[in-house]
Amino acid sequence: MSLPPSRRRGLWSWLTGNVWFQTMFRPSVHFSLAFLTLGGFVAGLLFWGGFNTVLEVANTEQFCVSCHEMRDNVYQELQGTIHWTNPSGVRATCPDCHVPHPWTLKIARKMAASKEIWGKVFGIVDTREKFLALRPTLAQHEWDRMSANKSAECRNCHKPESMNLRLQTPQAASAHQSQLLTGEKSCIDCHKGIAHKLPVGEEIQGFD
Amino acid sequence: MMQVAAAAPNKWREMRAFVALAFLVWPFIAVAFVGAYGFAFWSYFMLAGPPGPQ
Repeated sequence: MSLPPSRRRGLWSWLTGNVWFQTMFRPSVHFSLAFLTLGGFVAGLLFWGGFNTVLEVANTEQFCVSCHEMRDNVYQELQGTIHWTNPSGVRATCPDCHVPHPWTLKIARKMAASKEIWGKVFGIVDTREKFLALRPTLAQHEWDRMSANKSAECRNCHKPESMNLRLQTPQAASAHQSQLLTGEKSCIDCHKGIAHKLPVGEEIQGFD
Repeated sequence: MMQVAAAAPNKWREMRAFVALAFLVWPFIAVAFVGAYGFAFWSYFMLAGPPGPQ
């Protein structure tokens, strides 16, 4: 498609001279308002459903472990923890803990994942060695995030007000009484390394 | 496609423009808008630290 002569006068005059542009910004001659609004309504429904479907698919464990960086490292470590199997059969998947549930924060996290795409493309953690070297940094990101939001993702399931301290060990009950119920600390401040291995200690314990 | 002067309204062209707007242009703008919204919050959190309790 060759450029029209008006191209030299700039992008705007080229745009306004374009027949498709003119058609889009002029009242319809052939279609009624009823038809056009219905069409927009249907398109909006499809978009809304499609958008949320994609968002939900990107919020599944299956999606997370489709990258070997997640599948071979953190996903393996989750297996065997209390958040993988337990007496009640309720389990946590990646996004339950690592993707904020409120919409705005979820979208912000999805956009932050562009950094993970960058990491995938340039192989930032594509070997076990690279992952172990970066683990303290990565773990600290999550600890900082969870400390700041007072372990909001933990509290989606674990309600301090529903804890029966008498069913806990005396040590746990007294720690929860003095630290958690006073609001001084939240879950992550004490319960680090419960779903994945801690950064330090792994080498000491002779894993890998 | 090549005429530059205002073309006579054409039913086929209006339908094509409508479908392009409803199913391509506006969805693209909507996704771009939501993406920009998320990026804005991400950038803000990088400067101000992670968000507090909800």
